[in-house]
Amino acid sequence: MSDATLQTLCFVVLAAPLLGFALQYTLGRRLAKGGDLLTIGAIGASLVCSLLIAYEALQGGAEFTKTFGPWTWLQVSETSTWTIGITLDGLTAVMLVVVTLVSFLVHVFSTAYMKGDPKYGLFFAWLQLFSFSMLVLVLANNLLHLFMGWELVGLCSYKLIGFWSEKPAPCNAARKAFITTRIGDLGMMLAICILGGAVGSFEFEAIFAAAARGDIAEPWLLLAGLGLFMAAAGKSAQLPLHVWLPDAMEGPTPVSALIHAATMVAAGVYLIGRMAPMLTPDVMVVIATVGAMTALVAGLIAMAQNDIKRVLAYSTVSQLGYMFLGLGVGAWHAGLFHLTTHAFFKALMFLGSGSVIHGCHHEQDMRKMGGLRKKMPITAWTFLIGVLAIAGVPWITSGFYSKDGILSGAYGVNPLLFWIGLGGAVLTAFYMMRLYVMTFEGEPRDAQVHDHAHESPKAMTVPLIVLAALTLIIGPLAWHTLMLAPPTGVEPAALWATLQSLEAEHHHAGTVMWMAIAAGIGGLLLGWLVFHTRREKLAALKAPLAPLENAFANKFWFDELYDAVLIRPAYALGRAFKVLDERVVDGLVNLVGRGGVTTGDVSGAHDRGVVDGLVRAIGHACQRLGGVFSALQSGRVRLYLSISVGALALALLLEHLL
Amino acid sequence: MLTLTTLVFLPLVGMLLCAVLPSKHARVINIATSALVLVVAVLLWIRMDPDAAGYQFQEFAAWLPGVVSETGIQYYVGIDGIGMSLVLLTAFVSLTAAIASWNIEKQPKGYHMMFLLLLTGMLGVFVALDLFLFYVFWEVMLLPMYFLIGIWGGPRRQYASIKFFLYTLFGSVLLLAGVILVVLKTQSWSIPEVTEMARNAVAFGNTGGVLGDSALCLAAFIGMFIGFAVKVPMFPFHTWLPDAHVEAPTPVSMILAGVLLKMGGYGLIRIAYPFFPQAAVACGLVISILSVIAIVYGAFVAMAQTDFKRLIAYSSVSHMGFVTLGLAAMTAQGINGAMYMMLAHGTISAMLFMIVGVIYDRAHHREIAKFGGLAWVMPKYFILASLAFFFSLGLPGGSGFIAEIVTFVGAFAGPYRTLAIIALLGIVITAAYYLRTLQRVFLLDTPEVYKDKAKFPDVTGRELAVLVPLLVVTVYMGIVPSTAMDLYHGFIHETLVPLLEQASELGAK
Repeated sequence: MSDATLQTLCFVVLAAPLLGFALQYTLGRRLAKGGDLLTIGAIGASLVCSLLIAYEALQGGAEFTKTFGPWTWLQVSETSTWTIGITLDGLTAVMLVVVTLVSFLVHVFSTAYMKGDPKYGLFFAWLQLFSFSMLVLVLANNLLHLFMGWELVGLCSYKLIGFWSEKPAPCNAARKAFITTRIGDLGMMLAICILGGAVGSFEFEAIFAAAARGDIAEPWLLLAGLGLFMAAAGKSAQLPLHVWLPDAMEGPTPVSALIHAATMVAAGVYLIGRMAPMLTPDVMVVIATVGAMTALVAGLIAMAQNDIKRVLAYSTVSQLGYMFLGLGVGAWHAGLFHLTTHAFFKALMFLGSGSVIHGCHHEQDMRKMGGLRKKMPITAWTFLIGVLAIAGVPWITSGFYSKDGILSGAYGVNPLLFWIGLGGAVLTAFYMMRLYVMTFEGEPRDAQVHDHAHESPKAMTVPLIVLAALTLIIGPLAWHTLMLAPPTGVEPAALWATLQSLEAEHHHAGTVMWMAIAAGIGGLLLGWLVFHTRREKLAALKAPLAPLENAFANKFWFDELYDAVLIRPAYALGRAFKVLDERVVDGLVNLVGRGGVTTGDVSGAHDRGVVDGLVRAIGHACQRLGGVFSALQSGRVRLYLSISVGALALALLLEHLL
Repeated sequence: MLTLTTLVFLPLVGMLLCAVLPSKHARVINIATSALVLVVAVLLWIRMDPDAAGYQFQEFAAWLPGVVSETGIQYYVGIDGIGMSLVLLTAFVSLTAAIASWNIEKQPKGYHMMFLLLLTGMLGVFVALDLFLFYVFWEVMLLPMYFLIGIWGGPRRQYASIKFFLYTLFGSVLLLAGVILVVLKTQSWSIPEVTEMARNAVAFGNTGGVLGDSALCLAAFIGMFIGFAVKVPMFPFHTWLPDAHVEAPTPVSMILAGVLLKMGGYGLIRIAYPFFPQAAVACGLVISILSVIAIVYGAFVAMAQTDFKRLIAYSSVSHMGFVTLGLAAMTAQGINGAMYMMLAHGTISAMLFMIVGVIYDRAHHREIAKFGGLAWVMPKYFILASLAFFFSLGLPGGSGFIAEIVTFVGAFAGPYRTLAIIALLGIVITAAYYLRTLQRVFLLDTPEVYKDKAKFPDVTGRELAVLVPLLVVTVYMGIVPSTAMDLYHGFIHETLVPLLEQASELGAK
């Protein structure tokens, strides 16, 4: 395939959903079936092109890197030109497939899930714009260009979380998501400021080259790296900016699957993966630590949630933590590989939960479910595959490969991080089994919900089956595509070695592998026992564990804390500044006014001899004007006039003196 | 015929027509004249030589020879990219405001005459190259604005108009004092000449020369700076703005925010900074601090507002802080960003004030707390308002994004990095108050009052004719920033930045 063809493919990948958005937004309501076929066609075109690109990337081997452009966008100074451009390498290729494939399946799923919604067509329009923005982000060859996609996916996320904006909860959740990620974006802006000044260009290659040459002074390079991670933590819901993601579940479930599980929330991981060559070791330590902590804390919280989507949300936060842990410990491939596998199995589980919610007539509380497997077998079995994958059941699921890679990486760097990660792995398997059992196994807990439950239509089950199949086979496939792209500067030699033999790495870290397997299977079994077969016998344990459960259920009171120390004080500060502005800043103006009037009155007669005739004439005129004004309103007027006259006099006096 | 004089005085012809023809034609004359002005401005822009340095379309005429110097005060106009971009903005925003003035019912003749007089004053300011002429236009613009707010304004219009008039007059007087000092020292009324002298002064390290590093120059700079800062308006000289906006009729608010505020920034770029580069360097820290306060504090105060229009007014204070922040950094990107922010804010703020005007026309109040769910009754209006909000808070695809990024990068490259980092906080608060307002005004439940389709129709064709062009230009500037940037970059790169750099070096010695 020639470069020109590849470039055209990239343009089609981008243009199709953009055009789809434009048409759907303007004409969607008038099209047949609300325009869903149009948008499915558009994202389908994108998907086909992405697959072709990925195939080409696979053929191209490790050296596959193409850059299209850069095209000059704006010249901000004589030495600094900002460009836009496209970069294609293994990482991009994988991301393209992940984004377009999940998006395509979510589109299909939504035709059934969103059926009958008054804003049906609009929903698809926003899905299209989101897909476009995400693809812009992924294809960018420079940080500024990436940042534009980054902000646009934020907008789409805002619109889609708040899709049902007649209700307060989605509105507040959407706003919280936008503002929390924007706090993270401060870091991105900081990085852009630092790099824009020090490098003069935002192209990745230029930044990496400058960093390697030492053109960016050490503290600023560190700060830029931390800034990038701050942005990534906001987008990918890492501690302490994770609070928005669980609330984002107020959005329609297909949105949760696409944006808040598979793609947008992974953008932070992608950013760190992409920018890895400029990150200093200190930044890496921060990334790994935050990632590990997030994996653990979110896992703990997930254990005590009863809303099926919230469990999945915290699980997403936790899994994103794993990805950062992987990147932070230098297991670059494993981290990004986990992004890929997670995208599929988490999209699978979210869509599965959507199928459950749909089948149970918009019931999301797992305490009212149970025994649904017989009612909705396809959903249950595909969901189980997702559970096994996230738990990392060995050899047959993709989650095994990626999680094992991360834990091996951590093991070699820092035992503490490894143990935290391993603990998190037990938790993951445990709460996922809890979710599965509470939903699909055992006796129905709410007869009404159960009686009316039904399996979902084909438009929903087929995407589930496809995702389940991908969850099983994507492991080896994506692993090899990703391996094509060891980015320059990320200790390529070491990472390349990991590529050479997956088996060899497992051999090296055989212990780690068995521990990971034990953690996953152990967690699953424990969950099965605690929540299913030994449920009654273990009920006695409930009371002593209540305080812990309380802390988990209340999400460690992060929201309450932020409300008390950030949100309320911010509003209070706003009100205080408002009063300050009215009373002091403007009050001073009025005070000067009143003072001026008095001074003018006192000195008016007295000064006549001092100032020359011209001034007096102007003064008279002004006073008359002042009379008109004070007739109109208050007496503040004259004071200003006095100031004016005084200043004019000063100027004229100066003229005399000079 | 295609001269700057034609451009500037065309509105006066329209004004005369308004005066002699029946008042029912006034609004048509206003729109036609404004449109013609825009056409002339665009034609001039097309005819402009993009590569030529300095001022083009220059015109001279003797006016008051012998005052101070031999040539004395002249009628001297000319334009470069800086002036041209702002002239285009002025003509464009004025045309949209003229359309928005369609249903002014109170004394339409007087209103449209004042409107056109204002247009002459504004255009004049951007093309005048003689200091006296500049000052005359500066003052010419003041009077019609005073009447437009004072006669056609809201309930507290008299207080607001007098406050506006006197506050800006106070600024003008300081400006005049500065001008007089400059003219007496340099013996020249010509802006290019004085700039050249300033350039020579720093180029030869002539710290004691005509415009060197003296206390008097510093005083003159501070005077001029305050004069322009009142117009920007810069913290702490901003309190006239919310009052003026709240009382002004919608089209006047559009002009006020879209164009008038830009005169402050223009004055700084064209006069205060090039004339006194060393004083500008010396004051850099103070100006940066005040700018950061304007950005962050302005955003906080905006967040606490209960009146929709006051909120938008404070957002202007916050956004115009970027202009002075970029300038004070004295880097090419910073000044570039400052200029871009002026243009971006010009169309976006005009759009925002129109958005407020649309709902005020229907609801006759602006209490944010009393609104809600308007998106469900006025869907098109909701789309336009959301776009205006998001572009104002710096969403990519709109001009505000470019302006913010370029300004931040520029400010960060300047001497006051920490301040630039603090200013970043402003973007979070800005997002907070816009999204909160969007939610409280447009989302959730619709109160019964607003469900009356007859009283709350969606945006009309005329309102669309105002909003859509502003939106299109905002998006165009967000996607193709080079059009504007290439137009005005000459003066910044060739004159202002070298001047400020040399002045910084002198200061360092």
